[in-house]
Order: sequence, then structure tokens, then C-alpha cells
Amino acid sequence: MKKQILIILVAVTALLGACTDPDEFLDVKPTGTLIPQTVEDFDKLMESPSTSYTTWYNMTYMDPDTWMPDKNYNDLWMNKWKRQYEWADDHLTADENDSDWANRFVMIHVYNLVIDEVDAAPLGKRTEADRKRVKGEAYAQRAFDFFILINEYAAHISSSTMDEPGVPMPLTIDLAAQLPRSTVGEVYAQILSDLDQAEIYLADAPIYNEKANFRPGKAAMKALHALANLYAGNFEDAKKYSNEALDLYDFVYDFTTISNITEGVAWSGLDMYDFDYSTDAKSVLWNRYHRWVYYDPAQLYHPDLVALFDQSNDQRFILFSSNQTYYGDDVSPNFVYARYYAESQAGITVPNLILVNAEAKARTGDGPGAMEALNKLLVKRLNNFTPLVHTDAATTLQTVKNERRKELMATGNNLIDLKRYHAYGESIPTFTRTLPDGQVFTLEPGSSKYIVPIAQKIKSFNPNL
Amino acid sequence: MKKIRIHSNLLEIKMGILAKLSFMLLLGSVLQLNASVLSDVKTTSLTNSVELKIINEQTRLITGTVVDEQGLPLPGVNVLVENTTIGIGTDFNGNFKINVPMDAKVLVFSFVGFISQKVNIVNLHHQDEIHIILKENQNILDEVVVTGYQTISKERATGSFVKVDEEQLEMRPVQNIVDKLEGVAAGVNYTNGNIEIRGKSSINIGTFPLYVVDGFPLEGTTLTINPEDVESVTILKDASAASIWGVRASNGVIVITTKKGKPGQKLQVDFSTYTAFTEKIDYSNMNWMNTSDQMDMDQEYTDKGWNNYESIVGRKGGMSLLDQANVLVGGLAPNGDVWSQAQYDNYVADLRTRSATEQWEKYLLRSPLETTYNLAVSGASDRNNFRASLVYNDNESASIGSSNDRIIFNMQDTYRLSDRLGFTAGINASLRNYNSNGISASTVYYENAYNDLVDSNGQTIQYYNRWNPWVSQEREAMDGIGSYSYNYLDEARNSDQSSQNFDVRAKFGLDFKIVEGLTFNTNFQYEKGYYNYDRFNTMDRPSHRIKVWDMYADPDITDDNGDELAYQIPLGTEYYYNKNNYYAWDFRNTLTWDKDWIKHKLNVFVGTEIKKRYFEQFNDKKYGYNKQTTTSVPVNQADFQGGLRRNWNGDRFYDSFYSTYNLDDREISVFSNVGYEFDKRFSVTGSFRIDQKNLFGSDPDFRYKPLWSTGLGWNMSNESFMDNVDFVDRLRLRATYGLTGNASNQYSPYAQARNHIASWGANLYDFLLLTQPANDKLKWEETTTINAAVDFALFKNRLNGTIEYYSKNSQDLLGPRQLDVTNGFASAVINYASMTNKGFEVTLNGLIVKTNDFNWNVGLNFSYNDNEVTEIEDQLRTPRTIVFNGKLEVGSEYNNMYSYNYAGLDSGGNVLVYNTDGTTKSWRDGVDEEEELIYQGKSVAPYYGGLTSTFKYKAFDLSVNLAYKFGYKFRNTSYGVSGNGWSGRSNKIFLDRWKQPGDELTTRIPKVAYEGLNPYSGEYESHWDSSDGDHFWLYSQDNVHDASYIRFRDIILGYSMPKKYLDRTFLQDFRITGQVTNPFLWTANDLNLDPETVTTMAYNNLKTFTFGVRLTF
Repeated sequence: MKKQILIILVAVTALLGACTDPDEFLDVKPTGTLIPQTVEDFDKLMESPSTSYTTWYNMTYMDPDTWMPDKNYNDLWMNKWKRQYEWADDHLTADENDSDWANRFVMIHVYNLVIDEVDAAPLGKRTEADRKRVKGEAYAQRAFDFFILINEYAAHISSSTMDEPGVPMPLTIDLAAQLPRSTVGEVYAQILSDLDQAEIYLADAPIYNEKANFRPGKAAMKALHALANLYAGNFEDAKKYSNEALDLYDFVYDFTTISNITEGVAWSGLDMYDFDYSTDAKSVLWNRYHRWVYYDPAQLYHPDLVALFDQSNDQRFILFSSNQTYYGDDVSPNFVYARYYAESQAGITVPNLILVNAEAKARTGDGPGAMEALNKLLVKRLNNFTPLVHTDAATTLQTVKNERRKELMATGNNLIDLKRYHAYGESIPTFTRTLPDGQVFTLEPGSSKYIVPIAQKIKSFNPNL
Repeated sequence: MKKIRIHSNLLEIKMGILAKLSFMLLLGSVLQLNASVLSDVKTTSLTNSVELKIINEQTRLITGTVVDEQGLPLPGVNVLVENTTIGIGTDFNGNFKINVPMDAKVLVFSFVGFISQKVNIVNLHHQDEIHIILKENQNILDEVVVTGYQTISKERATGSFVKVDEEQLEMRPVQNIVDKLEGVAAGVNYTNGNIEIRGKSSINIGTFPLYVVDGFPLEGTTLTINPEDVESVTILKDASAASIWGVRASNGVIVITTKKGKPGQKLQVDFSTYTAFTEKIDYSNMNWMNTSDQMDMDQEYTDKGWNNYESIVGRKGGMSLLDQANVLVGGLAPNGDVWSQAQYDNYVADLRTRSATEQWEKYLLRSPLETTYNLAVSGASDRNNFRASLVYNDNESASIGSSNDRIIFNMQDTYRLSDRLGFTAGINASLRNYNSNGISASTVYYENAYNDLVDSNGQTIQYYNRWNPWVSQEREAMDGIGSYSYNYLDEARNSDQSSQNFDVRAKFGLDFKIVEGLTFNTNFQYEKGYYNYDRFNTMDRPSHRIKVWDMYADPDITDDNGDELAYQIPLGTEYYYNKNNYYAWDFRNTLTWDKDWIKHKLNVFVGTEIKKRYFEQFNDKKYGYNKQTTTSVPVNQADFQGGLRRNWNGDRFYDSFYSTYNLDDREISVFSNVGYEFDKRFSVTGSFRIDQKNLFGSDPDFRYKPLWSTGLGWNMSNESFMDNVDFVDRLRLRATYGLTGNASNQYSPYAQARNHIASWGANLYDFLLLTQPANDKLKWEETTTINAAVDFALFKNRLNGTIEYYSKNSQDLLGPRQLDVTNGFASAVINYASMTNKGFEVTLNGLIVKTNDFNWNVGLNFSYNDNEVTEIEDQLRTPRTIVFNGKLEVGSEYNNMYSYNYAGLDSGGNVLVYNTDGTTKSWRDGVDEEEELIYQGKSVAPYYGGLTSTFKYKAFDLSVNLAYKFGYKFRNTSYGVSGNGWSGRSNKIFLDRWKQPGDELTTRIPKVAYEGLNPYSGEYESHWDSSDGDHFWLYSQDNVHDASYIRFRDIILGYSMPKKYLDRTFLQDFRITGQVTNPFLWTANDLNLDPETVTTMAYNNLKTFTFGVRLTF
């Protein structure tokens, strides 16, 4: 009997032996996927090029400088483009997603995760300096994305619009939150406060992140400070920050040395590839790309815009305009925007920063300084360029506005600028569009049609919007 | 005392063979093995030597023979002196010699499957021979069920088990065991090779059952099982299944038991062969327009302004022959060529006479042919049994150039080392080779109707389908570039793609009887296998040739060394390969305690299991590959991945190279079963199991999840009050209740991110993307199941069956719920729904006619499943998502169907829909309210089952198998929309399309939209309307039909040679069969559409004729 008990004991031991230390056996984690926990992980979350995904795409056909006469209007093969062109109350159906909204808020979730958790995170293969940098970047990125959103989905900031609805402002992680729209004033206050935080944490950061230009360096952060202040009407601060930013970084491509692969044929593309991907473009300070496709459907310059260009000398027109669509349809005497394989920017570029600097100077009584700044850009844009000279404040400001319209065309910037000028109390035209079937649509100054409507689908999830 | 020692050298020989085989299999020398297996097995043929040592001389010798009722000798029968351990087995001729003590009184003859017999030997004289006839035990009460872990008497089981036995399985010769299960068992819903047991109890984690082969879960595919090796299939359907097999079993378990040598069986060789011919694909079953009608429709697009030929030529892309003709007659050809109207008319008239489908049938397709050869050897002695089998399949697919073959070797050996210790070893190896050089039959859908493959001279016709002819010819004129033309026949003939699967499973088990009734089992299984895919695209393959020419740049591009880089893709062969490896092991230890006392029977079973499965795959690509020298030409991979290279037209070219992926799944489980029976009348069972997996984090809710079940059984027929009820052979009531769970290893409460290394222009980024948000409320899916059943057998088992009721209540089902993206995720997997599945199942087997020469047997099964969503978190849904996916709604079934309420066409040919008040509106006004949709019914059958009817007349038998489904709907989307012809073949239904005002009175088929002004309505239209507007017609009530059907799956005629003829040969068994698969289909819809293959009518469920021979010697 003793022997039998012994045997049973051996057997039971063998049985249990099969599962000794199950946790050690089970703790092996699958590869390829991980729980982000370390500073290194957070740094890598910030390294994603998706940070720069399409921005202000909703405004493509709202922009009055985009012109789609009869036949070209019929080429708008997505309904939402037609709705944009009509400045409609809704662009998207209940089933459609708004990528502008999603691209920003998906990343804001990441920034909130980083801000919440990076302080207590183990380092991984990073240093304490990296911890500070990553946190600072998260604040700066969040500020930039809120800035992009507030200008797309809300009235322009002014003393009378501070309490108007802005955008919802998630600052922590809560998947079930049904946040109402914060006011325009609250969002701007958050942007400036985030930028102040960022400034502290990024004190020792590099000036410019050449490899990942969708991540801010010190210059980019100053530039956003400048832009946000300009938009808010704080022109002195805009001047100060844009000066500081340009002192740090001011690289501009010289278009006079660039030509099309086939001279005179804009659709052949550029003979340099830096613009193919805006991550390769050294003039991009803080990357948020707008579009890379302008050939289908063909998009025309508004005749008023064409009239602003010095057609024989302005390389921006020579390199990027054509009387023919990409597929060979003749649109003479009009012009299509012949930008092929060169991503356009809704983020902050050095040319944009120069224009901000010029505008801020023009608006603070420094007309000659404004022209001087402008000349730095234009010498790299026009062949046979004669530097501009300040004569009077109104002309200088109009010159800056015109250059802004040309330099930043077809990126949504023009629509926001028009809205902005109106908020400053300046006069802007009433725009009119006629469809092939005779319907007429107008865009009055100060109209809510300048604001991109929040998609039905998003509103259906959140009744507080 | 006497001691009997039995000596055998078989073990050593067997182990040697096994080791050798394993080694050879791992080397992959399967063909060599084929030969050596047979020779080795034959030479060893059971050289048992039985040696008896008699210690006590006070004995007498008894000799005799044991035969069955047919007079055939029975080897291996246990002959035992009653109340002693003195015993011996009969030899191959049924003879035995036993020395018994002088005072021995009774000998007991026992043998599995036979009724034991006692013989009084007191008065037997020395040297007297006794002759025993053992009767087969036909008592149905001895039926057993196999759970994979245990074999238990059906009379003690309380769970829902359906057993499909050998006879039923052998009837239908197929190459995948799963195909044998269609319509054979209640609750098993077979659809196109997939099995769902008792409805859906998970939305997102999958509804595939777990396959268990000889006690171990199958990690690979069921294709590694030789269906000819399968002895029985048991389907476990209720909670007791999952509480035995754990988390993976919540969708049911299919337990496959393979054949083994039967105790006492002589060396037996089974051979069978089948050949199956399937009819050739007939494209006319697709109901496409003929060439001429299609061309009329294509011309209508042009007439209505869809084709701006100036722009199309400007786009440079490939054009159809009709478009080319239109360009030429319109004077738009870039090279200035112009056709006269007469030239054009002649050309178009010629195109109308051509037919791509006819030529594809002729040159690219054939009748599939499948051949199977199967050989099995088995045998046994009283201590040992073995079986080895080899199957070879040789299959030619419907597409010429595509074929596959398969070899499966299987061997199992069981040996009893002593009364206490036994061991089992087995190995299964399969090798599958695939050539996939044919062009898929369905590809012709995208080919222009008039694109013949071969001209009247037998030459392949060359088409420019990458670029238009003018651009192509310009490129071809350049030095260094060859032809830009394409032809599917050339593509197929120059294709070199193959893949290979190799899988080995080896296992080893020991069972040790510790004390009487207490057994310890240890089992280990190891699996290893690979899947390799190789594709060589040579310069003779049109698609590759064109790719290389496209990337031929101006020779002024240079590489880092300053060498000219005209060919950005190196000339020569492109070699792409994908390699997958896996290994898995499973180690299990169990203790079983059986105790019988007086009227009580107790069975306790406890065990632990530890498992690991590792999988990895990678793929890569080489250019300029030389198959002979195995060298290749390096390319700048970063440039290709980042899209920095462009073709001659300036289009970016992206390519991918090395990528890899791996998976390491681990699991530890503890489980136990307890069964208690009283007086053969009442039984109680209970089981539980805890699975621990290496999921992310260590949240106990994820790691430790107890699953359990409990059951009751009552054998009413064993009650005394039933003694007088003669016609009842069995009446048993049983019920179970239990909890099962389902977890996915993809989801966890923690935020997850995936690592990417990707080129973005000139930069390479190493970054993380969040794939899953943190969700600390994430739980397992849970299902509680109630199962109640009655098993009965009546009239001497002439009629038997089971009626079962079940109710499954599934909670916390995981699903991808759409979220407000403002919070960072557009969707996330959360526990968001609950649903119930209730139903009942009836299984009936009846021997309707039984005479000496004629038997008629009918097996019927019927299942009803009622699914209802009982809880759902708010979902974003719109009429459009509802017509596509159904409406997830409390109180409704999960699989439902809704349609737009189509109101026909207006006088301008526009699609109209009904408002809820009965008025109509244009589709342009949209359907925004759910109320505007019409409920059509269920989209998965609630009623389904099968019927098998077998007639036997003398040596002939005829079986008819049919499967049916009732009570659901299908939507016919095979029509596409009126604009489809632009990119694929148009359905004949569009011959009736609206063309002019007045047509709306006679037709509901939409028109081809205008690009621009519709002259009849005065409205502007766009060609996009032909898909946007037609959507409301395609997803309308017009295209929803009753999906009920009865499918005659097969009719099988067999002839088994009677014994009296067999006796004159060396054969034990000889059978020939002829079978026709898919002979008829009855459908409730009057369009004769097969509801299960609506869009692939021509390709699936084709008639197949199979001829087979099976013999045993």
C-alpha cells in the first residue's frame, strides 16, 4: 500500500510539474506589437509620418481662387467636392468620414497619451533630455493641430467671436467623452498655453528636425507663435516671433534655378525631387501636407488670380500652370494648376513665415521692413526681379496680401486669409459661382459659409456638438 | 502459481522503423519513404513468438478454435481461466492452447465487440478440442462517444455529441474530411466548405469549430488528414464540449478519430482508388450579354458622352479595340491615322463575331480531374496493433496549368508492454504541391467580350492593354525595349508559380496503471511544417516584360558608381518568395480513476496541458534572378520602397522587399471531469477547465477563466416500469448547463501599438502607430448554454434518434464599434452586444424495409436555429450600411436583410424610391430614414439539414444524399450596375434597360446614365449616376429572393462482392462505386440561381462523376 501511495505521489508531482511557473512560460509577448510604455515608445509614436496627413482638404473647392467652369465642374467625380464648390451647409453624407477632422484628432489622442504618461515612463533607449523633448513636442503638436482645426471649423478669432463655438478640445484620454465645442477664445488660450509649455520643455531642442519635419524644432515653434499671434491680431507679437523664427531658420528654394523636366511643360514635373514628398522639402518648417494630386480632376486658376501673376517671369506660374489638363484637354485661354508630384503645404513653410513677417511689419508701421522681407522671398520666385520699394502703407499691405495669395495658392490658406481680413474689419469681395445648370451661389463677407461644417457622422456620435 | 511471460521482438523492430521514418520524413524524402515503408512493414510482418513457461506441473492442456458466426477464425480472443489471471490469446487461425490448473472449472472467452462466453471444462477430457462460436454484440447500449480526451459510454454521457461513423464517412469519396460532413449531422451548418455549429455565438472572433485529431487539437489545415484514415467523427455541440476543450472550443469541437489496427486482426491491406471528373466551366451560366449586345451597350456609353476620346488618348492608357476604332474613325489618333466609315464598319462587324468566353473555354480551361490512390496496412497481435497508410492525390484544376498533388503518410502503433504499461506512437506527414500557372476562370469578366485569344492561324493575338497602341509602338521603337503586347494565353504559358506545404505531426503517449482503476496518461505531440511559395516571372511573361520596359528610363540616369541605369528594374527574371514555418507542441498529463462498486460507477479525470505554437513568415523579392546560378542583380531597395523611382511616364513606382512576421502562442490549462452513474439509470457529470494564455498584461480576467459544465442523465429504459414496454430499446433523457468563453489574443485592456519601418520619400522612419486604445473594461465573451435531449431506439433499433433543444446565451460579445473619432479612434473593439441562439435538432435513423435481399435505410436530420440580438450598444447606422450589412438591432436576428423600396423608373429613366407615405421620389433625394427600408427576412437559414437514403439489394447499394436549407433570403448582386460594362461584362438583364420614355411602363431595369443633359428629363446627369442611382435598384426588393433550396449532393451506386465469390479469391472485401455529385438542385427562386453561389454560378457546385474501387486482402 505504501508503494502505491508513493506511485500516486510521483504521478501527481509529474502532473503538477507540467505547469510549474506558468507565468514565466506565459510572459513571452508576441513580437511586432507592444504596449507603449517607455520614453522610447512615446518618441516613436511621435515619429509617425501620419502626423502630417492631409490637412485643410475640405477647403480645396471652397477657396474662391479655385475655379471650375462648366465642363470642369462636371469632372468633380466626388459629390463632396461639388458641395464644397457650392459652399453648402453639409459637405458629407451621414456615411462619409471627414479625414481633416480624423487626421488631427487621432494624433491629438497620441499627444494626450504622451503628456499624461511620459513623466513616469521608464526611459527605454532614450535619455532624460529626450523625455523633456518628447513632452515638449507633444504640447507643441497639440497646439498646432488645434490651431489647424480652429481655423477650419470655426469663426475667425476676433473680439466679437471669442465666445462663438470652436472645436471640441480633448486634453486627456476618454474614448466615451462627448465634449461640446470649446469657444474660439478657449481654444486660442489653450494653443498659447500649450506653446508656452512647449517652449519650456524644448529649450534645448534642435532648431529644425530635418529628417522628420512634421516634428517641431525651436524655429517651428516660434513660427507657430508668430502665426497664432498674427491670426489673433497681435501684430507686434507676430513680428517678434517671426523675426526670431527666421533668425533660426530661413531656407527657401530658389525657383529661378528650377525648371520643369521638359521645359515649358508643367505636367512633366520639376527637375528636382525635394517636393515629391514634403518630408524631403527643406523649406517646410512644420509639415502638414495639403495635397499631392492636382491632375484629376483638373483644377483651374481663377482668372483674377491669373491676373496677379507676372506670367512671363514668375516661376510659380511658369512651373505650375498649363493650358492643358494632365490628360491633354485644352482649357485655353484659362490655366489649370499643373502641380505634378509636388506635395503642397498647409503646414508652416519658410515662405509662409516670411509672408507672416512681412504682413506683421506692414501692419505695425514698418512698411520698408515688410518690403525688405518680401524681397527675400521674391528674388527666389521671379526671373529678372527688381526689388520692391515701400511707397505707402496700403499698397505695401496689399502687395503682401497678393503675394500671400500667389505663394500659398491651392492650399486652403486663401479662404482663411479672406475670413481673417474680414475679421480685422478689412473689405473683401462677395464671391459668386454659377453651375452648368444655371444655379448661382454666393459667398458674402463674414458668412458662416467660410466655416467648414462639422460632418453629420461626427455629430451623430456626439449630440453636444 | 504459474507465470506466463510473453516475449516479443516486435517493439524493437517497430521503434527502429519509426525512428527511421521520422528521420526520412524530416528530410522530406517522401518518395523514398513510400517504397521503404511498404517493404519494411511487410518484412516484419508480425513475427510474434509466444512462449509459455509452466512452473506448476499440475496442469492439463486445453486446445480449441474460436470462430465468429460466419465461421471465420477470430484471432486475439482472450481466453481466461475464471477467477484467475491465467490466460492466453488465440492465434491468427483462431486456435488456442492453454495449460490450466487441474482444478480449473470455467474458461471465459472474451473479445471486443462480441458477447463473452463461459465454457465449463470440468468434464473435458485431455486432448479434447473445444469449438467456440462467439456472437457479435449488437447491443446498441455499447455505443461510445469520443470526446478526444476520453472514450465514454453513450449511456453515461450527458452532453450533446453526434457521431458520424465509418460507414457513413466511407460513402462519399472526397479529399477534404470537412466535405464529408455536409448534411450528415444535425446542428452542423455546412456552407461552401465552412462549418458553423449551432449558429453564431461570436461576432468578431470567428465561428470556426475546433478540430481535434486523435486527442490533439489540429493546428494546421484539415487537408493534412487523409479522409480514408478516418474511422469516426464526433461533433461536440454544447457547453460540455468547451468545458473539456477550453476557450477555442466555444464554436463546437469536431473530434476526428483515425483507424487503428483492431485487436486480434490479421495483417490486412486496404487499397482504394477513385477518379473524379468534373464538368467543364460553361460561361453561359454567368448570364453575360453576348459580344454583339455588349458592344451595343459599350457604344451607348460613347453615344451618351461617357468617353471623351481626346482625353482618353491623352491618358495614354490601354484601350479596348472598339475604343481604338472610335479614335481612328474620329481622326484622333496621335499618329494621324484616320479610318473611313467603311473601314470602321467592317472592323466592328468582325469584332461582333468574336467571343472571348468561347476561346477561354477552349484554350484556358479543361475538365478538372482528381485521382486518389490509397493504401493502408494494419494488423495486430494480442499486445500490439498498428496501422500505416499512404494516400496519393493527383489533381488537375479547371484552369490549364494549375494542378496539385498530395501525399499523406500516417502510422500509428500501440503496444502493451505489460499489464500496467502501454504506449502509443504515431506519425503523420503530408506533402502538398501546387502549381498555379493557370489563369483564374473568373478573370474573363474583365476582358473585353471580343478579345479572342488566338487568331485563325493559331497565333496568339497581341493586345496593347498597358498603354494605347500609339504610345506602345513609340516605346517599342526605342532601342532596348521589346514588345509591349499582352495575351492571357502567353501569360499562362509563361507562368512559373508553385507552392509546397509540408506538415509533420508526431506523437508519443504512455499509459500506466498505478493501481486497479487508477491510470496515469502522458502524451506529447510535436508538429512542424512549412509553406513555401515561389514565383519566377521571366522576360517571356508579358506582365513582367511590360513592367521592365515601363521602368526603362533615359540612359542618362546613373547609379552610385556612375554606371548607366537604363533598366531601373534589372533585365531578367523577377523572383518572389514567401516562406512560412511553424512548430507546435502540446504536452498533456492526465489521471483517470474508475471505480465500480455495487450499483455505483465513478469516473474521475484530471489533467494538465501545456502548449506552444510558433509561427513565422517572411517574404522577399529578387530581380535579374538566374535560376541556374541562383544569383541576382541588386537594386536600390530604399528607392523602390520610398517610391522615388518613376516609370517613363513619370508615374511613381513602389515596390516592397523583405518583410517578416511571427507569432508565439502559449497556453497552460488545468481541467477535470467527473462522471457518476447509479444503477445504470442515473448519471451526473461535471467538468471544468481553466485556460491561461500569454495575452498581453496579466489581468486575471484574461489569464484565469474557469469554464465549466454540469449534466444529468436518466436512462428511462432501464427503469423497472419500462420492463414491459417491449418496443423500446433505449430511452434516455439528458441535460447539460455550462459556461463557455471566448477570448481573442488580439485585444487586451492596454493600449497597443505596432512598429513600422517605412520609407517616406528619401527618409526611413522607425515609428509606432497606436492600433488599439486602452480599454480597461474589456472582458471575455461568455456563453451559457442549456442543452436538453431525448435519445431513443425503438423496435429492435429499427428506429432510433435524438431530439435536442438548446439555448445559448452569449454576452459581452466583442465587436468593432464605431466611435467618435474626436476622442482618437474611429472604431475600437469592445464588448458591445449580447445575443441568444435557441433551437432544436432532430436526428432520425430508420431501417424502413428489412428483408433478406432488400434493405432501405433513411437517415434524416433537421435543425432549427433562432438567433436574436438581445443587447447592443448604440451603433451608428445609416440606410446604406443597413442594406449592405443588415441591421444590428435588439429583438432582431443578427443576419438580416433590408432593401430600398424601389418604385420603378420615371419618364426620364431615373430610379425612384418610395417615401414612407407611399409617394415616390428620385434617388437623388436620398434615403435617409431607416423607416424607408423594407425588411426582407433572415439572411442565414434558420432551417437546415440533410437526408440520406440508402437502398441495399443483394450486393448492390444505392445512396441518395441531400442537403436543404429553408426560411431565408439572398440578394442577387451578380447583375452589378448598368455602368459595369465599362469595366466588366454586363449581365443580360440590361438588355431590358430603359432606353426611351415609355419603357418605364414595361421595365424596372435602369438606363445607362447620360454624361451631361438627359434630353428626356431636361436634367443634368453624370455617368457616376449609373452606379450611384443603380445602387437603389440593386439593393432593392427586386433583387431579393427566397433562398430555400434542396440540393441533391450526391447519388452513389455501389457493388460489394458477396462473400461466396470473395472466398474464391485472396480478397476479403471488394467494392466498386459510381457517384455523381451535384446532380440536381431545387431552388425556391424562379431564376434558378444557386443561393450559395449567386455570383459564381459557373464555377461552383459543378457536376462531378466519381468512380472508385476499394479492396481489402
